[in-house]
Amino acid sequence: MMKRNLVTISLLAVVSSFAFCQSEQLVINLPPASLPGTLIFENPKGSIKITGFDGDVILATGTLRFREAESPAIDGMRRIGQNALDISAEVNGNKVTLMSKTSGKTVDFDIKVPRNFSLKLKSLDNGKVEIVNINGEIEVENVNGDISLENISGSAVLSSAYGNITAVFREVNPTSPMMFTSFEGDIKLTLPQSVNARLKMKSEKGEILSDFDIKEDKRQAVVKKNDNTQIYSLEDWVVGSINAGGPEYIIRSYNGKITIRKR
Amino acid sequence: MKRQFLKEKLLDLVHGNLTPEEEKEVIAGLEKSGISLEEIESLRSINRRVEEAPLPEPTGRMDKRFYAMLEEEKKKVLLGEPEMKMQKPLIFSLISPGLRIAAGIALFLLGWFASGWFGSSPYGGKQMASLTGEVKQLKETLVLTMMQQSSPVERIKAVNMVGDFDRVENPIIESLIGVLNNDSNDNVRLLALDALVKYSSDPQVRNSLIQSISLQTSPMVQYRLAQIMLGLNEKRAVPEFQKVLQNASLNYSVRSKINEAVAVLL
Repeated sequence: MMKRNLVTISLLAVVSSFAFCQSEQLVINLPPASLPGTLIFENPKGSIKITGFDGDVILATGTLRFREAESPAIDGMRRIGQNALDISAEVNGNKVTLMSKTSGKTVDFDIKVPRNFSLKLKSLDNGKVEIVNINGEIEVENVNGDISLENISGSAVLSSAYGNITAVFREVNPTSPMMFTSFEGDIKLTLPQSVNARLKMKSEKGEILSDFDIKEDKRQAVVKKNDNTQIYSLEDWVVGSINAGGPEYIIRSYNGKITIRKR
Repeated sequence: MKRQFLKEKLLDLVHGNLTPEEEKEVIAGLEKSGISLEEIESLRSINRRVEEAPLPEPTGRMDKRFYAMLEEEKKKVLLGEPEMKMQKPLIFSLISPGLRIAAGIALFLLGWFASGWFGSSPYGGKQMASLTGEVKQLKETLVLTMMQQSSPVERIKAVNMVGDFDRVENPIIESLIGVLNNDSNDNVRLLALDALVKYSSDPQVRNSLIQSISLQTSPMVQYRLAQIMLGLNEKRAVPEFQKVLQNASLNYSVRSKINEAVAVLL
């Protein structure tokens, strides 16, 4: 058995209890060896906004979306608010796991992380996931809300069931495959003009648009064996290369529109 | 801790020969010198895989070949060696040291050209075949290791690599099924599903696909499974789809596709 060896971290929690804005900020000082690292965060209810900045700490601010009703004074005494939010973090090697216990309340998170950082995020309900200015590997699952990436360098694996996906890449990792899936939502992808990639796209009910010169592969015949009969059909993917071709980007929707745009 | 000491202990760590206390100490030391837990763990998992890999049993044919080669070597030693010993001093006594060096260089160059010349001889074919086999084995081990990585990009690469194999071995199939049912990322699950469809004529794969139906929550994966079961005309999928239909929050489009599948398959 491997013993988990936790690197000690200094956590500094600043609780700013403004009357109208119930929020809490957690400052995570990162040991120098942990850069570039990975932030893992799962928000059970609420949105996540991540912004890359030139620093070596993580600033995580959680804000209750719906203000708790001010309770009337009882016998001349005010109720002293207890911590509505419970944010904590664990730093393990170069992995930072942020945890939030919110007892069913909707909490929106605004997190600043060093620019060179990878992200593994999940929002389960009630919010969008927004990521700006990050160089790294980004993994997001947001079942019910939108996912938007802006000014990204690196790669992304994004999926949603009901939300729209928008991703704007300044640069891409030349060897990383990417995947973008939304069952009901639209997928808008903006890639650098000089990107070398092989696109594999499909939308059951939606259309596919692009201003790239995509060299479409000849569609391959697919053979399905069905007990004794063989069924031939054309491959139902649109497959094509941009520029010299490269790692595979799979973009798939059921109801949504797919747009691939030049940056 | 000293680097040399760490180096020695790293091997012990990878082979699992340390007591829990020592292990803790070594890991701490390694982390101080900038080696992450993940790297250590990946080293260990590679080692485990190498140790678990079955060693090929020597066959009767190999035995025969071995003894034949042994006999040949014996003959060579008995016949060839004495003559050579006789000649050596005679030749060397006639040549000056300068000439000896020149001869050495000439021999080296001759060897160089000869290796280029004969490198493409038919004997190369056999060696290439065994080398290709080894490369394939290595690639399989790599794919299995990559499927366990925490980065989804690595796992996507691993699933994509399976497509390059002509024949896929059982451990790979099992690993793909594991990804389909347990991967934390819906995108990677979807990719594993598409990779597995190619092997759906294998009854084991077919059964796993059917069993997987009720384990999936992503609408895209559910929809794709309904499509696949329709394509395979797989009647045994119906009870599994009926389980999925009981979920009140099932996506509308997925529900109608599954209803269609059930109606056709029944």
